[in-house]
Amino acid sequence: MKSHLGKRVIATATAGIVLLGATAALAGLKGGWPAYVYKSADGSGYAFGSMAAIRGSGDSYQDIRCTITWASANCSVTDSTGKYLGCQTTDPIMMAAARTFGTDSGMQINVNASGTCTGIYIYNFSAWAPKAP
Amino acid sequence: MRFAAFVLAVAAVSFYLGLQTGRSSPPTPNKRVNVDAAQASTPAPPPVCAVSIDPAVLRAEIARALGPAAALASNQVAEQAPAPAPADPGPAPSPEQVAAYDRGQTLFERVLRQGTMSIAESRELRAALVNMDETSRLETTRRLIQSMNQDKLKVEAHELPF
Repeated sequence: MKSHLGKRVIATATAGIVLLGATAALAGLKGGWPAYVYKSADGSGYAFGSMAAIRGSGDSYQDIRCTITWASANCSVTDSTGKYLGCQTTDPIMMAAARTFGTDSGMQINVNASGTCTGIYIYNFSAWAPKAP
Repeated sequence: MRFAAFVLAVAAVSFYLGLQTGRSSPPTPNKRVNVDAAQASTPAPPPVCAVSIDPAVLRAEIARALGPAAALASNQVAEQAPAPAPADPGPAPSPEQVAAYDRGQTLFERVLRQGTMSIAESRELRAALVNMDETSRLETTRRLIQSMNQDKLKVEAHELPF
């Protein structure tokens, strides 16, 4: 009888550990980048954000986008206060980077005073959730 | 006539001597020292008339003779500063593209004066942008972005025209 009880305790403990392990496996690092914009008075600056975090934000201002044509890419970020920073590039390398901007990606743009992109960075992090509807 | 014969004879003798000099084996270092010493003791030879060659002119002549590829290889690559090719202006904009550009500029100047762009104005500008030629479209879009970056223009409801 005592032995039977001991086996039941061990089985319960084992099940608990397995459950805990499963919970831990589901955890992982999670996060996202709300839209952030920094700019100077001349209009130069930088901005970044991730698709899912911005799409899921509670306000109606945040926005991140890239419009790519055969000849140029226009990318921009608007933060939660409506502050906008955008840029245009015709540089083939930056255009190629902008084309990889997907629905689960993040992006940073660096902009000079004339509105031209001086850098486009695309981020794909496991911590970011897929963009929800 | 006699003078011409004399000149011919001198030329023939000079040619013969030149051939003999060319056929002789190259001097060994010892022989060269001896020759140098002999030259040092003798008076300087009379000035010789020689044709001077301008390397730049020669290079240009060779390039001209061999064609543009040779000119590129010999001259431009060596200098490492090829002249930039003139930008291709592309085809001239059509009347429709010019009209779209004019519409876009008028609209752009108006919204810039207002400081805001309504949804209707944004859509109107988008319609003008897609009908512009590439150069005008890029320039108009860039000016729009610059104005918004400098907070001179706000776009209603994020309705960006591009």
